[in-house]
This record gives sequence, structure tokens and C-alpha cells, in this order.
Amino acid sequence: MGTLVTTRKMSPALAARVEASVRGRRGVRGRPARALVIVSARAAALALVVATVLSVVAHRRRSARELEAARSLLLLRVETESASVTASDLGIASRVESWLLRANAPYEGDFIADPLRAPGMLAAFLGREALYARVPAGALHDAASLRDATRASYEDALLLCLVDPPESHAEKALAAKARAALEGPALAEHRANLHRLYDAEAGLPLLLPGWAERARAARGMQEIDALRTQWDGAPVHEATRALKARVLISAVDEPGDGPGPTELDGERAHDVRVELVDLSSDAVVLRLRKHVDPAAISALTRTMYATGIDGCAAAVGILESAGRPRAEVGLAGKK
Amino acid sequence: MAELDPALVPDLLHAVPLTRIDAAHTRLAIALAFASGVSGGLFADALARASVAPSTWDPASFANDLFLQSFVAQCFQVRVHGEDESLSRSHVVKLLSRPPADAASIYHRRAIVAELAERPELREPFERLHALLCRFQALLEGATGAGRWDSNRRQLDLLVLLKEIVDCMATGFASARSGLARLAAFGARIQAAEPYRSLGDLIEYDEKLATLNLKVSVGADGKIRGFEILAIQENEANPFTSPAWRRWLSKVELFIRGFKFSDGEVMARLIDAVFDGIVLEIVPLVQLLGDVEFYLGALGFRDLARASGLDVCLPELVGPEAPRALVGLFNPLLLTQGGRAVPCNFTTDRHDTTTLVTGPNSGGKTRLLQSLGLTQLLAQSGVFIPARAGSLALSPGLVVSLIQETRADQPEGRLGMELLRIRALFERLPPSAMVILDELCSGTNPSEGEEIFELVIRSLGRLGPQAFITTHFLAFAARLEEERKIEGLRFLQVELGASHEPTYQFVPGVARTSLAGQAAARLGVTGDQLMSLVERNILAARTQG
Repeated sequence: MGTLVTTRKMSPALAARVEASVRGRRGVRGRPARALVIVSARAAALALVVATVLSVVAHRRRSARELEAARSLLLLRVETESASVTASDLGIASRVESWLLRANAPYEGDFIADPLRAPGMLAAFLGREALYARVPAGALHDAASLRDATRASYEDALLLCLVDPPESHAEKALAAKARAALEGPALAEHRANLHRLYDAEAGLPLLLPGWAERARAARGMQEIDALRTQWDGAPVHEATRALKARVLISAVDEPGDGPGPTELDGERAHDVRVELVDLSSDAVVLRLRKHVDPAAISALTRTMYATGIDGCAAAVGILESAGRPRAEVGLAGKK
Repeated sequence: MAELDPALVPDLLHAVPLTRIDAAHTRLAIALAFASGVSGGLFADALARASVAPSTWDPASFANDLFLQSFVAQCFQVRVHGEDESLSRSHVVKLLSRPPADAASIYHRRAIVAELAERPELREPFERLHALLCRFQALLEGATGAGRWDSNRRQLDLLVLLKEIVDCMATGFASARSGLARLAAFGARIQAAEPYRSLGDLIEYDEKLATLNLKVSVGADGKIRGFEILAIQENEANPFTSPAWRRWLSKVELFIRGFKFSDGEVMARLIDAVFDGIVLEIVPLVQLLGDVEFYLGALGFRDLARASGLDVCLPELVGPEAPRALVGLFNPLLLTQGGRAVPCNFTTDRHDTTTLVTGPNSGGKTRLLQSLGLTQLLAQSGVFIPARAGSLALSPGLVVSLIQETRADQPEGRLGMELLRIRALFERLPPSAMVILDELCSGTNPSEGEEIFELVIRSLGRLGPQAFITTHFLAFAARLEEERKIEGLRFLQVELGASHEPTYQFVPGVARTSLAGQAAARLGVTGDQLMSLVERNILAARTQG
């Protein structure tokens, strides 16, 4: 076995003597067993060090590969979801917020655009991709309060009754819609075009270019995992569709009035302002204020569905203000 | 282990080169000393155990009586800047006390001595070689200074010295015509071999691994403010040079193999490999140092004699029938004893004679015998004799009896010891040997002593010796001279001056007086002087009483 102590320039005889010296022929004579132990121990120690280094290197390489795989997968998901989102779409959420904040002012009065009064036009308008938010008037002071409020806004009985009005004003029919709104399935067949404003707001940051850059710049698996958790927890897919909306349906609950009691679900007598905005033309097409009061609801039903029944009643009132007969409304809602 | 080929040994003492030290043992001792820096005097030990060429001389027969140890210590010194730099005096004593039986070796030595004496251009490298060998021996046997802490540095210094020694041998004696040419041949042979080239490469590697070109900035105050490395040039042609990464991996490899993780360990392996290749060539240097000291001792003896106004020579070697002629013979032991060595001319018509020397006490008879013995010894050792010129024959042995000590444990009285001495003489005396006896049979009454004396010289005659005997049996000697009955008997006497004082010269004949009266008067032993002392003592005793 050769040795690194020799060089190619050495004569063979000298190289042989160097090898003999390195083998310890002279140095460890008389102590072969001890020398063997030392050599073995050092070789084992070095092997351990080398194995550790190799293991660390392999682990790092494996981690790097896993990191890249996770990053690629995450970026693929980002690109897939972002593919259909245009720059115009990305600006929708801020435009909607500004429309809502505009409502923090004295009520400008009821208004219905003439085209909307034509038969079937309101139903057709509500059949377009729309964002919906119902917020208390007190949340309109600033954008942060507004976002907190939109987070608590779901597709409720008001929205359901707008697109799918009840058969009659009877408490039983209103309660059925309120119950359906709580259970969800009744709205499901209509929600393909109806989206929560919150979905658009929550998913929007993840669809911006900056978020993808964060994923590309992530240095560790922990960072990628955090981004992936954020992605999985956000309604990104819903956001991509919500950002396509060109209609805003907003409902603002004004503060309660009168000495009446507050129901168990928080409902009490108050005004509800509903506004429909055509985002394509940046124009209000409908603005109406309806008064709701749970006092008229029977005691048993009121306990469970006061808010829903009031909401549905407000929606029916809006439809009727728009001049649509109940039958027509019912047909339009079943589109 | 490779054996040391005698033909490759730079033996300066014998016509046919001999390996006289234990090569295997010495090589092992050198390897251990090189590694450890502690040897306990391996050079001196090796020389002390070294064998000598076959000799017919027995040191027990003459060494003590000739004060050989004192002679070597006082006269055979290797002096450097006035200091005695002799390494192994006992080795020189051993060489002198066992002259080679082979005449060719004697002539071999004489040629070397003559060339060193006649050609200063050879003596100078010869002394330098001795100095280098001594430095090598000192550094090898005892680590001092930095060598105690830096083993590599000490070993590299040793290798540098070794290279200087080889170079000195190869170049310093290229013009030699005597046996000194062996030094040049030895050096040239080593220089032509791979181990020497590796040695040179390693030294160069140690001294010049790389060259840096520096640009030094000097401030207005003349102080150095900084420097910049312009270029680094490694000595890539050197076989020991390897890239930095390879040197680092070499350390890792050595660490795995059980060595330390250091640059020094890599260098130690390289030194070890180079040393292993050339160690066999170091072994003869141990023997060589002894040889060099032998010749430098001879040259030192010559210098000492000349400093005293005397001279030495390489005598002409003649046959036993030729005359013995020693011109300006002096006793070398007197050179450093504060005495005055008076040279004399000593001549006998042939060598195989028995010469009776007579003369007054303190006339120089015993000194003459010492001179004759040392002269024969030095001549047969192939070096200078204490005479300005001379011719003498080789002798197969030397028996000297000059000292008659009285010891507490001696088995016999004075006569008995005298008889035992005579018995021992005849037991070991070969034919034609040199015999030197001082005051034979002086331990008994003259009439009986003379009978034994005559018996001895008659018996000696049968062996044809070169015998020199002093005696105070003047009447007996005169009778032998007159009778001429014993063949080969010659007579010399101390020459006296006009005032009957000894001139320390020797002339034919038998002395008429021992001048005991003069000696007694000189030492205060006349009748008047003794009576005066007696009267003084009696007076002193009365005064005290």
C-alpha cells in the first residue's frame, strides 16, 4: 500500500524507504500489539468522524431535496391557483372595501336604477358573480374594523331570500328560509356565483407575487411548512373565484332602536340598509333601507330564528320595493 | 541487514582494508543514537572493542615498562587550537601496542604519514575531516541545545554534517597518492549513489522549500511599515516537495497510522527514510575516526619534537644483518616531563646482537633503553620514530623489563622475583625478538648474579635476539669483552666528559666505574656528610632531654 508522504519525483529506493518508515517498521518495533491498538483506534475514530460527516452531508442533501420538492409543490399550487387571476381581479377587494366604507355616512335615501325595475333584470343582476357582506354600521369606521366584521359575515337568510324568496310572508315560510340558511344546503345551489367578501380578502395576499417570492426565498423546511400551512388554511380557491365578482351585495345593520328586548341571538328592532353595486361600472344600482323587528315573531320561533326571519323579511321587502311580484321573484330565485 | 564490505571501508591502517569494528552492533547503536540523541559513547565503545590486525607482539611484554599510556597521552596528542581533542587514547595505545605482522600494512601507514607530513594541502582537509567527525560524534552521542527539544533539527544537523564529511572526503583527497586515496574513493562512491542524492535533496528541501519575493515599505523615519508578497515560488524540482493539500493529507495519514498529527512527523518520516538509506555508510566513519586520530597523533608527535628542537623521521627498514643506525635518537618521554632530551647517535654493526650497556648511575642507560623500545614500537607501527634519521630491522616481538617494583603481595624476595622475570622472558620470547633488560641480576651478590647473567646471555644467543641489557657488573662485563667467547655480544658505555660527568652519549666499550662516589657526593651521602647528620641528631636529642 502506498503513502501520501512519497512523491512521484522520488527514486523508487527512497520511496520504498519512506513507505517502510511510514509503516512503522522502525518506529514501533517491539510494540506491535500496542501500535495495532493505536492504529485501530485512530482508524475507527476517523471512520466515525467521516461517517458522521457523510451522514450530515447526506442528511443535508436529503433535506435540500425535500425542501426543493416541497417548494416546487407549493409554487405549483400557487401558480395553478394564480393562473386565472388577473391584475384587475387583484384590485377588486380594495374597491369593494372603499364602497363599503363609503356607507359610513348619513343614508342617502332609497334608490333603484331604472334598468333594474324591468321584469327579470334584478334576478338577472343577482345571478352574476357577486360578493356579499353583511356588517354592522359600527364597523364602517376604518378598514381594520371592516375586515374584522366581514370575517363574521356568512351567506345568511337575507342573501338566501334575495336570490330565492319565500313562498309567502307567513312566519312559517320565513322560518323555513331562516332554517335553510343556517343549515347551508338551501343556498348551495345558488352559491356558485355568490362569494363571501372575506374569502376574497383572506385569499388575496397569497395570490400576490410577493407571497410566491417568499416561498422561493424560503431557506428551510420549517419556513416552507409555515407557508404551506398558511396556504392550506386560507380560502385561496374560493378567493380566485371571489375576485372574479363584478357585483357587490352589501347589507349594513344600523344600530337597534326602540325599547324592545334583544333576542337570544342578538336580534332586535333596527334598520337594514341593502346596497347593490355594479362593480363593472362602479355604480350603485339599488339602495334600500328596511326596518325589521322580531317582536312580531311567535315566541317559540323567535327564540331560534329571529335574525334569520328578520333578514328574510328584509330581503322580501327589498324585492317587493323593486316592484317584482312574489311569483316572479320566486321564479327568478330558482334560476 | 546488509553487511559491511571490507573492500568498501576506508581503512587507513592496513594494506588490505579490514572492518575492525562490530558493524552490526555499531549500526544498531548509531540508529538508536540518531533516534534518541543519547548513546553513552558509542564511538569510544566501538573503538574500544575494535579488533586489530594480526600481530606477533604481546603488549603485556612491554607496554607498562615503556610507559606506553603516558607516551600516547603526552606525545601522541591530536591538538586543535592548543587543546587536546583526542577521542580514544586507549584505541591509539591498542594500535601502537600491536604493530601489524604484515609488512605491507607498515609501508601502507608510512606512505600515509609521509604524504600528510609532506603535503599541507592534504593535512588541512585531514584535520578538517577529523573536526567534522568529532562534531558528528558529539552531536550523535549527546543532544544539546535545541536538539534536546527538536529531534528533527538535531537529525537534520547530523545529516548536514554527514554530507560535509562525505564531500570533504571526496574532494579533499582526490590528489592523494597514498592510502589517503581511499578516502576520496569512499566519498566519491557515496556521492554517486542514490542515498547521498536523497540526502542532498532533503537538506535542500529543509533549507529552501519555497522562495518569497517581498516588497518592503519603509517609512520616512526609516522604519519598516509593511511588506507585500509579490510571488511565491516552490522548489518543485525537489523530490520531497509536494502540494500543500498533499502535505496536509500526509499528516492525516500518519495520524491514522499511529503518529502525531504534525508537520514535524512528516519530516521525521523523510529523515528516517534518508537516514536508513545511508546509515550503512556511517558505520565505517566510526572506525575512520580512530584511524584519523592515529595519524594526527603521529603528526602531533612530530610537531612536539620539532617544538623542542628535535626531529623525527620514518626510518629505513633493513634486514637484521644490516647495521642499526639511529641519528639524533631521543627519549620522547622527556619532552613533556620538564626534562631535557639530549639526542644521541646509536649504532650497532648488525641487529641480531646482544648489547651490554654500562656506565655510571644517572648516565642515561635506562632512558636509552626506553628510547630504543619506543623507537622499535613506533617504527613497526609505521609512524615517526624519535630520531632525526635511522635504519632498523623489524622484530617479531618485544620484551621489555625496566621496572622492578616491590609489591606487598610478591611471592618471592628480590632474587626470587628476578629469577621469575628471567623465566617469564624465556617463556614468551620468539626468535629474533627485541629484548630490553635493565640491570639484570642486580638483586643478589655479584658473584652469583654474574653466573646467572652469563647463563642468560648465552641462552639468548641461541634465539638471535636484538638484545639490550644494562648492568653494573663492570668487571664481569669487562671479562666478557676481553674473552669474546660469546658470539654476537657487543659493548657500549656511557661517554664521560672531561670532569667525569655523563654526556648521555654512548661509545663502544665497558665502563670502568659507576661513579657511585660522585653520585653519593651529589646526593649528600659521603662519610663527612653522614657523620655531620649523626652529630646533629644527637645534639638535638640532648637539648630536648
